[in-house]
Amino acid sequence: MNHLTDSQLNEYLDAALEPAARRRVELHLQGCASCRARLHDLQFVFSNLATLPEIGLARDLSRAVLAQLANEQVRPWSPGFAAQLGAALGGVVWLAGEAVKAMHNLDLSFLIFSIPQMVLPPFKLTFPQIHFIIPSPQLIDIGWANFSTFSLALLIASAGALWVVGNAALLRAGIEQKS
Amino acid sequence: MSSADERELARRVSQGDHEAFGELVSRHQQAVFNAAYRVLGNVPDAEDAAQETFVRAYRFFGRFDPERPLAPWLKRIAVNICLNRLESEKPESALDEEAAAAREPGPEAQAVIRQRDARVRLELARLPPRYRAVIELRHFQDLSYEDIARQLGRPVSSVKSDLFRARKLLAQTLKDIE
Repeated sequence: MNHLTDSQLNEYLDAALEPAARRRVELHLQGCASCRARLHDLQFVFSNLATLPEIGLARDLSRAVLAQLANEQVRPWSPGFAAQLGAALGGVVWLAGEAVKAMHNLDLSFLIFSIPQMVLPPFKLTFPQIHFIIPSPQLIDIGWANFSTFSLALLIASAGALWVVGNAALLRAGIEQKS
Repeated sequence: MSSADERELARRVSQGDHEAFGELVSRHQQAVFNAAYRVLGNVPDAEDAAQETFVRAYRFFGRFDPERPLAPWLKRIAVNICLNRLESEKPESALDEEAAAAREPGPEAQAVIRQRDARVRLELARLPPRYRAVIELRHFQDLSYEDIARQLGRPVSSVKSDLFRARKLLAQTLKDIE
């Protein structure tokens, strides 16, 4: 005689069998003491799990949970982080100051008509456009490169802005990963 | 469908009402703790896991549909947290605790029942973590094979194999208390 498989017995108790399969199992159980014994052992496990009582929780978790949530919302910034952010913001402010100084000589029509030439192929940038973008011809010689004060301010401010955005993105990703 | 007052609490939580969330914690902490305890088999770890469950639930409360009951969602989070913990922790302390309870003498009927329950918990704690997880999700959270597979990110065949094997092990180890 072929006995019922473990799968059949388990799925029978889980009520996961199709009606026809269920009837075949029941028919077999009627005539097979060995499978009835195996079924009984499984039913014993089911009943013990079903009647297993909960154990009492010794402490109220709500206060600890709310305290943790409150602490996460008011997390203080570290001095190092604050210093770096200050430097980045300082770069942005410096750029704004340089831009304001250059604005009084701004020729908007020149800028507007020059944009396609600058941003479309072949990305040609003529000297007048370079002089327009970099109005402060104060050059800073650092040996292997020359920077005008404006372009240096632009570079530092861009790095600062990227730093702020990047840290925000990494912080958010860190929180989500930890969760 | 969750009760009307629970839906109201969930609505307030969505608006950042901590007091409302505290009320939800109080209502569900017992069930969540026990779900964690059945998987971890250790009271201190289960308390920590339950607390972490609620913190995570608050962070991701926007993903919860308030029209659905909260308890199943919380218990599923708890199981995931417990499984992550078990990947790096050793559960021997759980066995010590339950083994001591299972050895308690006592002729009275209630003591016998407590001893039996402690023995069941002991044998549950002795199962491999993945077996404990499927037992918890099937027997205590009443999930189907497919829902268990979806939650654990595994094939249905693998879930059924672990579940049937876990039951077989429990049947063998609990035979003497029958």
